[in-house]
Amino acid sequence: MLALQLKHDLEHIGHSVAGIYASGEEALGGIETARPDLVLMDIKLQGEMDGIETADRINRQYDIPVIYMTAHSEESTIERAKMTGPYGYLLKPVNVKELQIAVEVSLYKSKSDKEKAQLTQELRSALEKNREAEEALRKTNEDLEYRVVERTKELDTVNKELKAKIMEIIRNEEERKLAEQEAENMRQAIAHMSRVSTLSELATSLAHELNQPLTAIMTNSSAALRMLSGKFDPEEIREILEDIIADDKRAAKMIRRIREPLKKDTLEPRSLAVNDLVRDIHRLVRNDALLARVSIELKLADALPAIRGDRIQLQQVLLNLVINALDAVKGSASDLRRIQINTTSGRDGSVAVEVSDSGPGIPETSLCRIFEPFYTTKTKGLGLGLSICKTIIETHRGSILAENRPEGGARFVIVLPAENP
Amino acid sequence: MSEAHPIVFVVDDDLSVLKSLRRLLDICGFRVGTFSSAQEFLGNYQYNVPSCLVLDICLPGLNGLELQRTLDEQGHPLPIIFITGHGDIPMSVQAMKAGAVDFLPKPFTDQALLDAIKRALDKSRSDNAVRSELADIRKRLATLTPRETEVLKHVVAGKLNKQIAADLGIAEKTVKVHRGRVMQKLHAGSVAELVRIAEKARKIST
Repeated sequence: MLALQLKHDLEHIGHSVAGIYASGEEALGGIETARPDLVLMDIKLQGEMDGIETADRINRQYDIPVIYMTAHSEESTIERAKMTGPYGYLLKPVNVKELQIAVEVSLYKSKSDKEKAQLTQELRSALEKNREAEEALRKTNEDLEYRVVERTKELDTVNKELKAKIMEIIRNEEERKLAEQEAENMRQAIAHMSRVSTLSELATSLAHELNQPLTAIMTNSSAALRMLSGKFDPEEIREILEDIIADDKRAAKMIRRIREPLKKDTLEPRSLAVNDLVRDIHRLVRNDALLARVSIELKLADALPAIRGDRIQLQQVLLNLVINALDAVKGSASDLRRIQINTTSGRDGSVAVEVSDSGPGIPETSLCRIFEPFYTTKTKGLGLGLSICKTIIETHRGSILAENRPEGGARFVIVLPAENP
Repeated sequence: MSEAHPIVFVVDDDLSVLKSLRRLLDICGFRVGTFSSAQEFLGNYQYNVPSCLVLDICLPGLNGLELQRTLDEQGHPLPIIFITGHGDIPMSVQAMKAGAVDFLPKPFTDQALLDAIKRALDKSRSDNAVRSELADIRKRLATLTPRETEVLKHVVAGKLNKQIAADLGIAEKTVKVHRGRVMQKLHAGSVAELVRIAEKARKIST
């Protein structure tokens, strides 16, 4: 009856009543279906559970505010009820006003609690999201850092490899340059040698060839002389003389041919350091000199101006002079076998090379003829060496002279104009 | 020039030299055969008269030394005077060893050449004499019977008639008869002469 009165009161103050139940179990079933905004709960109920226990269940399962409504006011009961967090505690008998206030307050409080909870929930989820974002950011950062480190390592490795490769390339390049330099030196030495040997072969074959016209001339002359001592036909003598002239011309042509390779148009002029030429030749003859126990001393002037000329030809001239000097001193006592090669610069910017030896010197009668072709004081040799030297030096607009040194021995002096006088 | 007119052959690839040599040797009274290659010479030379060869060592194709060897192999060795433009000592040594009469470096005087030619022709004459003597011996040997030849071999080996008779299984008297015939056929006045002739004959057969 009380419940019906209550329902009446509640409807009177503007609320609807979803259900009225006598036991806790019934109440829970009703709540499950109706989902009311508020439960008014008596502590003393029919059935197993009392109101406090039921309220506790409701609290756990649903978010629905409970107001106790009881006649009990013992401390222990109140204490127990308090633990369930009720929205109100009305002592019976309940007047309408009290009921209204309690219900309104509870509804408002519940609503605000729900809002609060929702806000909290939202805030929490926002925080959570924020945290997640932060985490993601952190992770990203870490990842990024890791990747930067990794990438740096990689780059470092690549860099090192690259450096090693570059060093290798540089080394290879240096080796290649060295090899090329060596090959160039070799090539020059060979070109040089072959030039010298070609010349000597040329001279030998020239000598052989010259012997043919000379033989014909001599034989023809002898035949003519024999004819003249008997009866003769002048026409025949004329024929012989014409043959002699033809052979003479043939011989002259042969001699001209040997000088052709030394003409200007075969020059390959380059800027040259005379000291380098001297060193080249020194290298070439050093072994021969050692074997012959001849000391070769170089006195090379510093800061000589460059000259312009064909390296091979000038080397050939120097080689010729040094070989002549070697031949000249070979007859001397071994402690007197000395050759000196000096380079000096002249006042007019020219460069001079002197090749002096400690040999017997040049006979006075030979001095003026020594550069003539086919003039020789050697038992072997064709007498072409110095005449070729002279031709070469003259095509280089230089001069060459031979003299006897006051202290003994011969000296050859080559003077060449500087490249930029 | 009562004897067979001697011939001087000249082989040189320098036509100017060849022409001058023909001229000189012509004036000096020789018959001259000039050739510009060894092959040309081999197809044209004669060897039954006193003759010699003036030969340039350096020839295109068959060179002088090879021609010298070829002539030897053909059994017609000819006295050779080598001439050369190179003062080539190893070649000259080789040529002289192979029997050359002389080796003249070009250019040579006419006298040097004529002297060499004279020596070469003398050699040619004596070579020819030896050759004809040998031919004569060969002819005479051919007249011996097989038994006479056998007896000759034993005599030359220094055996006595008695030994020869025993070796051949004939009477010593018969040996004497054979021996007399051999001496007669070979125109030998003594055993020593017989041995000399037999020695020459041996040279022919080897």
